Amino acid sequence: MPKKQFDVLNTRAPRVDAAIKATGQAQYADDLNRTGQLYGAILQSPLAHAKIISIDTSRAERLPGVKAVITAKDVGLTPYGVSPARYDETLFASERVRYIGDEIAAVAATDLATARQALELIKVEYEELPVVLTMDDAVADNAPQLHDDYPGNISAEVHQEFGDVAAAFKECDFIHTHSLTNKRQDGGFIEPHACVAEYDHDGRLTLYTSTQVAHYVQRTVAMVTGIPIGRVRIVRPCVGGGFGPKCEATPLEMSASFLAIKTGCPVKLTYSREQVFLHSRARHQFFHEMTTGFKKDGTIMALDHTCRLDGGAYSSFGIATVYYAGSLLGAPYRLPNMKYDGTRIYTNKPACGAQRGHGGVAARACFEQQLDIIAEELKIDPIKLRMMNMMETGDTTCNALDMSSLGMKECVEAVKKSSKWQKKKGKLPDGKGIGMACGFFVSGAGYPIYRSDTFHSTAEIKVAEDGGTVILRSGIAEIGQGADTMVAMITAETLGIPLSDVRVDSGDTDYSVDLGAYSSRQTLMSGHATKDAAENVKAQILEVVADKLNMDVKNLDFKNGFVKVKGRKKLDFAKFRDYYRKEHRGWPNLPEGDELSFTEAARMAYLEKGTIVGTGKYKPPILGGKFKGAAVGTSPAYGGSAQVVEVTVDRATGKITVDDMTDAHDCGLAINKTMVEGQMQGSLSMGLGEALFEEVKFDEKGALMTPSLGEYRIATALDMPNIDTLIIESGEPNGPFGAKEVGEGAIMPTIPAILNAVYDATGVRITELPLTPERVLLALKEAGKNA
Amino acid sequence: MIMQKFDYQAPADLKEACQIMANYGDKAKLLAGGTDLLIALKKNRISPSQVVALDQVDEIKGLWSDDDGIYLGARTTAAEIADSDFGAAGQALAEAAAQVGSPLVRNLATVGGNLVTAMPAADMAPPLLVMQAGVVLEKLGDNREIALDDFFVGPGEQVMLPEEIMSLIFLPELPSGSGSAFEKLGVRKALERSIVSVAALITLADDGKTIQEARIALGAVAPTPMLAATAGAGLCGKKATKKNFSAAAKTTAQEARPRGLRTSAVYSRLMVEQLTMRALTRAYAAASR
Repeated sequence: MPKKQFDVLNTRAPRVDAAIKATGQAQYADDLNRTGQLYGAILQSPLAHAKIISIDTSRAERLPGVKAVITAKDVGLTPYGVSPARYDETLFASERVRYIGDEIAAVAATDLATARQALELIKVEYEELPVVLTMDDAVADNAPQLHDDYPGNISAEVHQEFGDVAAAFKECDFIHTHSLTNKRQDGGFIEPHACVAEYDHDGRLTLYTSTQVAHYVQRTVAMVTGIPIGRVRIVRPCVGGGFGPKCEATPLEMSASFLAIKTGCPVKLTYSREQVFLHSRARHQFFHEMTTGFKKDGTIMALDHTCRLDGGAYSSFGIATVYYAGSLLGAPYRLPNMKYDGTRIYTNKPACGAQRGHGGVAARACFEQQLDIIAEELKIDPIKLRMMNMMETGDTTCNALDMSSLGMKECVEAVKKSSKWQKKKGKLPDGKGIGMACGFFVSGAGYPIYRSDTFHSTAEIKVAEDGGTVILRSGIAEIGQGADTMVAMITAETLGIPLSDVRVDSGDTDYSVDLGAYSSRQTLMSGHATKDAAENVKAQILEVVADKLNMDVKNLDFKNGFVKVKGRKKLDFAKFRDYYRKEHRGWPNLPEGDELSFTEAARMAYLEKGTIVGTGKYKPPILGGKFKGAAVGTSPAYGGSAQVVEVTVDRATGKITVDDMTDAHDCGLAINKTMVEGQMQGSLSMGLGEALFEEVKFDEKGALMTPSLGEYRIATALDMPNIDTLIIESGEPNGPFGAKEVGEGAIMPTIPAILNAVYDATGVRITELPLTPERVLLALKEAGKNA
Repeated sequence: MIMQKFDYQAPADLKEACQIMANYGDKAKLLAGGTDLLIALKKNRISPSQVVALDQVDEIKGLWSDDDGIYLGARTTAAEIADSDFGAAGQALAEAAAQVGSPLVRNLATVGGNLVTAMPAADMAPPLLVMQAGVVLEKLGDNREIALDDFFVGPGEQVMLPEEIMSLIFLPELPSGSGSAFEKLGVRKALERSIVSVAALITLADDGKTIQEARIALGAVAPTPMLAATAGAGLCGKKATKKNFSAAAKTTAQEARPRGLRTSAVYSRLMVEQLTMRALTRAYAAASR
């Protein structure tokens, strides 16, 4: 479709929070302090699997300065979790601990040192149980069982078939099987979880917390504490990154809440970096095996896919993860037959959950390598093979995902051209390689995590009584990605006013319902709700203007802060201008010139109707298939991306250097080009880290061996090559102004593009991540290709 | 992260610092750059009653030289060393200093701290070992100089008495025709503990081809940074050829004592061989300049 002209959108407007973050004024949860505040600490299990025989808190309670000690006896055993289908956690363990870090008790004291000291005085008697740390051990006969309700240590299972894979294989000229294993990852966000809970005399709980999902935290905290949901308010201060692991209510938040209720004092709790790793809820370890059948002309016919996920001790997001690991292979290539068997397995380690590219990253890494293997077998350029099988706008996948817009071909063409693929592929010197891969991702989950007809996002816009400022109130989660700026820009564009006239108050469950920052949903969903609210406000104001100045409302609009008139009739507002100037005598910046300003128009509307408030809302239409699990992967829109990566492999040491990355992403429409590029850069950095460095490790007793960002290595600025970011805008019919996701889809191609480049450089396929020098050298030696 | 309480002392000179250390001994900890000490304090691995800051002790800062060699104040930062010119003979030291931690860490971390913490992977230890550095240890009314080769005892352990302060690192004047190089293998380009590090130093005879003297030192492949003495000695009197370097690299790999903690011992030895070859080749190039 022809591209619309925008005044605010599609620019490089500075972020609305740039100044406070650049100057250090931004307040994060741990920066907050309340009068009379207590400090909390949580007692965590030192054993990976044990029965609790007894808990004695009496000495801790007697320690001067200690105000409360709570255990399961005090807070009860309300089961909770992420999906109501798997509520397999309680705040504190009462009979059994299932990983090193499982919560047993919490303490509030007048200072942190006293709280910590009190933890040491809590006496817990354990009876050690045998530990299972690997998936093989967990599913073995007679393996120790983690949960009575989930025999065989099976946390979740998925069995799906679309089309007829066995029949399709019979028609194939080639069938190829390939596998890939990644390692447990961590989000590596800068700000550890922190919160402050307050409980007032009216029985209202306010929780200030570093979260991606204030809405779900509100529900879970209400459910576990037993406080009516309307009396629980979640406030999200500035958040220093989330990437998925902050997508659920934490023991930190619930402990702080209970301690505040018990003491009547505000209570602050902050995770150490080690506790962030112990809470985890980050990327699972996946074992993928994929058998792909294709014809000699390159047509992909069928995929038979099995996957095992190491879930850790609890479910967290795991049910969604195991579904996503299968469903996200339905696109962007035409794949008529797909069979998927996925199993998530419990082990005595911290629980895994959602992380950027939820469930799909390792699967994509395996599948995109397989496409390269097929291309090599058929002697077709890997880009050509992908283009032959690529879906287009309007296609629907075998698992009923509707590609309402898909700029994948444009993405591939863009990276091919910009990376000078044709000059390089097959022509680089020894030890240097080039690889490519594609990926796609949802623009918001089509359904909430719990079954509900709720709107996914609502918004409220109020115009200040003088008409000069538009205030957007929204529950959205600004977690560093730029959500506040996104909704501010949509508000300004919709209303036809400058961005500087919009103020965003966000991240408070009092403001609106918003499901939060996960599944790359906010630009599409919260963007829609914001646009809806802004249109409502605009209509209210223009109606008054039309009425007062005797115009047809259809001929009126706002642009750049002024009323625009269509047609020949002139706007006669001289009387109102005089009136406005008299009423605001002595004020600075009174309106002048021959156009009626938005400020005057909004004032006119206020004088007529009182405070102008507009609301907006969004929920997706009914989407997707009817089969079990169809909700996971279903989205109103899908973003797509393609990448080309160049690497150098040192054949003598196995060390890989990523020299160059080219990334194209179809985000529908770039609301803010700089922020879109930022998401692309960040995704590539995370993908590069997962490919080359990152692994959360445990010893043979289940103790964390990588408890810091010194041991757990994420990519540094120096490890990142220059990235050529190319924005593709396909115009999404279901997105606000045509926009859709960029936050997660951009990570999808990174790992397989690196793996394909390493193969190009060395002729060796490596099936286990991360690509540490030792692992790479070993693979090269096995193939006789080391130096 | 909460630290135990301690008194903070900021002596004005070395003598006062020695007095404090004499008074408190192992109850006191010295604060130079703090890049290791603060982590240990925050994690409650240590709980000294006194933290003795050395930032006002000017005698142990900076670089100077005389006819005997170069004096490096123990309080000199990695950034200052990375930016210094030690000539072809000392380039390994500047190279190693430039790879300590990150720019922020290098602005704080000191050469003395890098040695005193006695980590097997200490970046600056291998080049200082091949340069035959000595360290000066001060205590109230007394000091001693010992060879760096005799300094390390085990992971995190060295020969210093609780009341001693490392004041200087002495680098004896190296003969002309000397060149050195440092090689580090890690997975990241910054904030990286070595998988293996190697420093090599070669002194060429007047003919420019015969190796008069050679030393090779290793990091991260033994309980302490170590000299590969046999390999180094084996090169003396030989020609600087690829073949001889290759034989020396093999010997070096055998001398390494990797414990197989972060990478397998087999891989560590292979990397010792590779990096030694590279370090010798570059040291030779530097010596030939």
